[in-house]
Amino acid sequence: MDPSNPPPAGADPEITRLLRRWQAGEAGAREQLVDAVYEQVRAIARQSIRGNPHATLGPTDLAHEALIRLLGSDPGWRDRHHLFNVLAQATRQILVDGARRRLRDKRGGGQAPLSLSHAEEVALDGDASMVRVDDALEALATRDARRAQVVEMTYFGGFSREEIAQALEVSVPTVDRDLRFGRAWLKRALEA
Amino acid sequence: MGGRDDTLLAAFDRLAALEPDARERELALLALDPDTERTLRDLLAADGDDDQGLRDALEQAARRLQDDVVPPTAVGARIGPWRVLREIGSGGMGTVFLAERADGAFAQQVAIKLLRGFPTEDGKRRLRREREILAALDHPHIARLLDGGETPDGQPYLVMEYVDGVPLTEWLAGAPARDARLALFDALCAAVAHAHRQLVVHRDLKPGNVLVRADGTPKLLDFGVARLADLDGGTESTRVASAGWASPEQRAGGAITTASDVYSLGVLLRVLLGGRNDLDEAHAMPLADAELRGVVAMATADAPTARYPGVEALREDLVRWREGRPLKAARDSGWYRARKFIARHRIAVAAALVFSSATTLFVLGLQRAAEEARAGRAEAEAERVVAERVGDFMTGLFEDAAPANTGGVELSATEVARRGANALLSDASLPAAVRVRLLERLATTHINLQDLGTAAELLDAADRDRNGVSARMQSLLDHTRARVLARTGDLDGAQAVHDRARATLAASDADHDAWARLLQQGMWLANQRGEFRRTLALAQEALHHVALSREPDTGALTVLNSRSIAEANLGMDAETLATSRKAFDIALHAGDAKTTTRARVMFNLVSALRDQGRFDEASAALDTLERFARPSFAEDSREELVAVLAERARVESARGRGAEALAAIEEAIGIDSELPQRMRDPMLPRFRAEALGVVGRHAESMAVLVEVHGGPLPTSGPVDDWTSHLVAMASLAQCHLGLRDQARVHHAMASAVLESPTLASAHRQPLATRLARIPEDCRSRR
Repeated sequence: MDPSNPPPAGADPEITRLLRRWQAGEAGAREQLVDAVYEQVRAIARQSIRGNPHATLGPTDLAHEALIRLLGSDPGWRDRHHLFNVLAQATRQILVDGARRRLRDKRGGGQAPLSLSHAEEVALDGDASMVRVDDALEALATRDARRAQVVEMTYFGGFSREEIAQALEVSVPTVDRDLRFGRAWLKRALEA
Repeated sequence: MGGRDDTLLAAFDRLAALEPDARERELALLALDPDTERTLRDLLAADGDDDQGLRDALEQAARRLQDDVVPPTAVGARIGPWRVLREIGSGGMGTVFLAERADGAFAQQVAIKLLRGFPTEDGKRRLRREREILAALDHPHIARLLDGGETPDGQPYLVMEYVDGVPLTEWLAGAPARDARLALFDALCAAVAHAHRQLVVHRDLKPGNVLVRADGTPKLLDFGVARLADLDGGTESTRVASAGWASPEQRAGGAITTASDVYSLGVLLRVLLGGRNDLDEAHAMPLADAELRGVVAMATADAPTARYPGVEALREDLVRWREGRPLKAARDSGWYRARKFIARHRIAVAAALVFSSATTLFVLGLQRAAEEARAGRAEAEAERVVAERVGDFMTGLFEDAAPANTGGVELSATEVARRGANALLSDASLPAAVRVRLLERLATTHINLQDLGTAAELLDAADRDRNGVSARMQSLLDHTRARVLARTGDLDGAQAVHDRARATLAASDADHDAWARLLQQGMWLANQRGEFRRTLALAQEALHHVALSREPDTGALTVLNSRSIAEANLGMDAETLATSRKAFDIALHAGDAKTTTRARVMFNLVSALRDQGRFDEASAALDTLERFARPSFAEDSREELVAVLAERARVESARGRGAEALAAIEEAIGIDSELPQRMRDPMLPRFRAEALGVVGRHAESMAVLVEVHGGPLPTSGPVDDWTSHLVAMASLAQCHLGLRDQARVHHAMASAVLESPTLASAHRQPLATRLARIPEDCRSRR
């Protein structure tokens, strides 16, 4: 590509390259892709911290934002589907990493907890919920990897049933069925 | 995956689908182990669409990730050289702060708009666009843009004139007199008209975006969802505008034009006259008389074409009302008639009048371009006269073309375009941007009509205003110029102008559509110049932009088509096939691809397969296409079916199945004969001759060949690609007819062409195959 015409603001060339390598079946390309996406999503979260006090991006907003930065905003871009799962996985990973870190910091690595304010208690409950969701997803994945993927893409990627069906190359009723079980599975884990 | 797990999943799927009573019965029958049964009961209890608790838990996790650090709050904060005093409001996407110079250099209070919440890419893009739009506006009733930039954190902001006033609804609560209300509305109309002249559509006109100062003068705010009227395509309403104020087309997600602002102004007027902003109350306006109600009704007509043609027209009608003159609300105009006529007769015009598609495009394109002209320059009377004249011209055109008026005489497309060109060339009063756009459109129409001289003349005229238009437009002018030059055979000239278009684009902030268009031309030119390596070098870049453009499928097909031609010419058989196959797959699923594009792509793949002797694959591809084309009786589907059948005939001929080939080509000829002249395929008789030769009906084959060639086949002199095929076929037929001497002459001629470097390589393979068979066939006749 000639220098007078840099790639558009949209697609990240590194991501595009990794996607190609992954699609070509190259070993390790997917892991590198997940790493790169993880960095991108974390950068967005970090940036939002410095920004406005009202900044509240939900998990699906994070994933959507990352998608735009990685691939540009054109919905017709064919590579999007390939990134959906990676993106949802990275978003989930970041959220659970944060939750685990806060739990560890606040609880002092297994020592008796310091006295906590009510707000902090609530926050720690929330973090514990996040970790429970993550564990439950992990357990689901050992039973049925695809059901776990469908759940991950729904709740951490914010993708529609149709998008998920296309990305995983299954029918929409299959996605619905997987999701029904997965939703019950996570709700049960949260109530435990 | 253990058996227990499978049992649980399968049992859940089955039981979840049952009614509660049936569940219990089924559960008992399953006789699960106690652990699994307990888990299953828990899961069934948790089953349900409600996942709010789950979503909340995840939202909180995301929020805490961002709450880990508490950012500085706005009051007292520095934004660029400004210090924030207080928050004064927040709109759909931004929060507005009152601020003053932090260095006290001069006393000035300003309003600073920051994106609310996290600065997403979408948000930043919108704020950037708002800044560009505001920068183009300079009007006493529009809040001025003073400055803008980004905080060190990457948060973009706009600095605007601070308006010390109250929202419109609050002002209305003070029950101002009707004259004051109408004066305020007039000022607002002036502001919106100013924006329209700068090709800006506000798209969100409502009381919340109008501040009224103590002296009763309004200021229009918030161009956050405004759009620069896009000269290349419709402006789609991608955001939901404020309910109750938005036009029907805006609510329906249709194209937004200046007419949408006229509608919203009409609703505002209704409210100013004491009415409400919902449709049921349309006529309850205590402050309005019958005439004013008529003005509101016309401004808020459901159909954009039934509204005032522009804000100025609305404004003028109110002036007439004030002066007691008759209103224009119901008066007819050339424009109005033309648009009504097109709306009513578009299909009839296309179907019954044998209008070429170039003419239809020209007329619709001209309509839009002239509408833009009108929106941009409605203020000055002289310029409206121009717009009206084009409108009258179009009315005349369509009325002349109406079935009752043609008297059997077809209106020539060239004549239509020529009249349009003359009208424009003789008029220099339009603003540069609009005029250049119109000229470029007309030039393109003339290229399509093969009138390259007039096209060049129109481009010359456009070039004289070149410095007054955007880089994108300049590049489009060069792009069109390159088309003209290439068509006249001046490939070097075309390349030079094309290169200039490229340099212009590279120096501007061009979008993907502009790049996609340019690179497609670059590839086409490279192929025309035989620079096939260059075509391949451009392909990747082109595909990239095409994928991000508004027509990803059509663009990809064009690019892949050029690439496959280059690959075929470079003898890259495997690549040609792969590229053609890829294009074929896209074409099958493309929503936006034209039938002709799909047919061309099909031709590439099938002929690549055929040339490589992969007949079964070629035949399978044709089966797929036939399934697409067969069920529909629309003309373009019929045209596609003809192409499929013709290709099938060629494939079957090539593998020696003459009967199948003949059946296919004869069906093709039958369908083709019922298509309009411009859609008919002149190649069909040639394929029939080929099939006749294969089934051994050589005399008939020979007769068709002679007829196709329009006379006896040449026995000497230069032959081109096309004739060489005929000559080779003739040679084959002559072998069978025992005309050995003539067969030998023709064989020699065709062989000579095969050796010639001028033979296009796409033709080389089929010709070689045919020639190779001739000696064999001749021997077998001995």
